[in-house]
Order: sequence, then C-alpha cells, then structure tokens
Amino acid sequence: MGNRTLVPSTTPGQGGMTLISTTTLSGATVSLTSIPATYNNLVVVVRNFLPATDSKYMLMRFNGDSGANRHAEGTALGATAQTFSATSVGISQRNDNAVGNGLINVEIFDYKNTTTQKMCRIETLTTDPTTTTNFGYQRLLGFYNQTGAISSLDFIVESGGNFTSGTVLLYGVK
Amino acid sequence: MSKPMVRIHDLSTNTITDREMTDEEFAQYEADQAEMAARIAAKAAEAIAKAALLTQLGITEEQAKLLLS
Repeated sequence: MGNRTLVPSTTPGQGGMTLISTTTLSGATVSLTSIPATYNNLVVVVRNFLPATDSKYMLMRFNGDSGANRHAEGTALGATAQTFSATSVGISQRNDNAVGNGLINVEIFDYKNTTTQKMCRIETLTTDPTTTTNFGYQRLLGFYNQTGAISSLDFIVESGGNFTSGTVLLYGVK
Repeated sequence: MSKPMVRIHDLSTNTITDREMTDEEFAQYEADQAEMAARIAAKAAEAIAKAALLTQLGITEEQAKLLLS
C-alpha cells in the first residue's frame, strides 16, 4: 500500500458558530423573530436566567405556536408511542429568584427544513431555589410536530411569571 | 390594570420592542397558565406515585438510583 496524504477540506463555510443575536430577558415573554434561514442548526444559550418569582422554570415555544398538542418533551433514553401534549417545551429546572448562575444550552436541529417535525436537545444547569449553593440539572429532548421552518422562538416563565434578568444568545451553526 | 409586558427582538432589523400584551396574547397567556398548572399537577402526581412505589418495594430513593445506575 502506498503512502497516503491527508488533504484539508476545501469546502468553505463548514463548521463554526456565528452569534446571531444577544437579548436581555425582560417582561413575561421574550420573542426572537425573523430568525435567518441561513444556517443548518441553531444554538440557544441562556445565561443567568432569573425569574421574578422564586422556584420557576423557563419554557420555549417554536414559531409562537400556542396551538394545543404541538410541543412535547422527553427525558427517557428512548420511548415509543409518545404524544404531543403541550404548548411549549421546558428548558430549565426551577431556579432561585435571587441567585442566577445558571446556564442553558439548546440545540435546534435542521430548523429550516420544511418537511419534518422539529427536535432540539436541551441541557440545563440551574441554581437551586431552596439552597442556592446547590444546583439542578436536566438533559432532555424537545419536540414540535409542525413541519414549517423555525423562524421565531418565544421564551416564557412558568405560571405567568416575569423575567428579572438573564441573557439569551442565539447562534447559527453551519 | 395593565397587561404583562412582552419583549420582541426582530433579528432582521436588530430592533427590540417592549410593549404590553395585546388582548389576544393576554388570552393565550392566561390559557398557558392553566396548561402549566396541569403540567405541574401531573408532575406532582408522578412524584407521589414514585414515592408509593418505593414504599411498596421497601427501598429508598437512593437505593433505587443505585439500582438504575
């Protein structure tokens, strides 16, 4: 067998993350609209989520779609016969309302395709609302049963609460 | 009484708008609360069922975690 030489890829624009937007969490709902359809995946990073009311978690909704039974989430390694039964996907554990050192990472796959339902992977680190030196974590999948491209994301506090602070960074991944 | 505020970040123009919810958005907001309350109740029921199962099995939550690890 002859010598082989590794040749670097010449395909441009492959890999890498581009920061699309930075938004401070405020009010009851924060919406990112007109998300550019120029990437393969989206990554949402939420830093220091702080709800106004203690022990609240954060939710995300695709395309501002509050239609019944369009969102779902799952924590099991695998499952069958699941149902879409929610109007949003939980993206954090309950967080303290004074200490917000948490980090949330959500990757939305193939968000601009118009032929499949959508899916995201969610990983969260939150500040425990009872003992703020403790933490909560969760790893789950979120699902949305519509096939349209994702062009907006809403962020909501559980049970009608407000955001005190926090930052949402939206990245596009090629 | 004023309605809750919403923040909209339009990424096509990088414009951020803060405004009160419209009547339609507020109606949805209230409907969301009902759904979330139901979701919380379901999780609480699940926790109770889990505790009952542990009692039935005669093991602690830590022992159950050890079994599943």
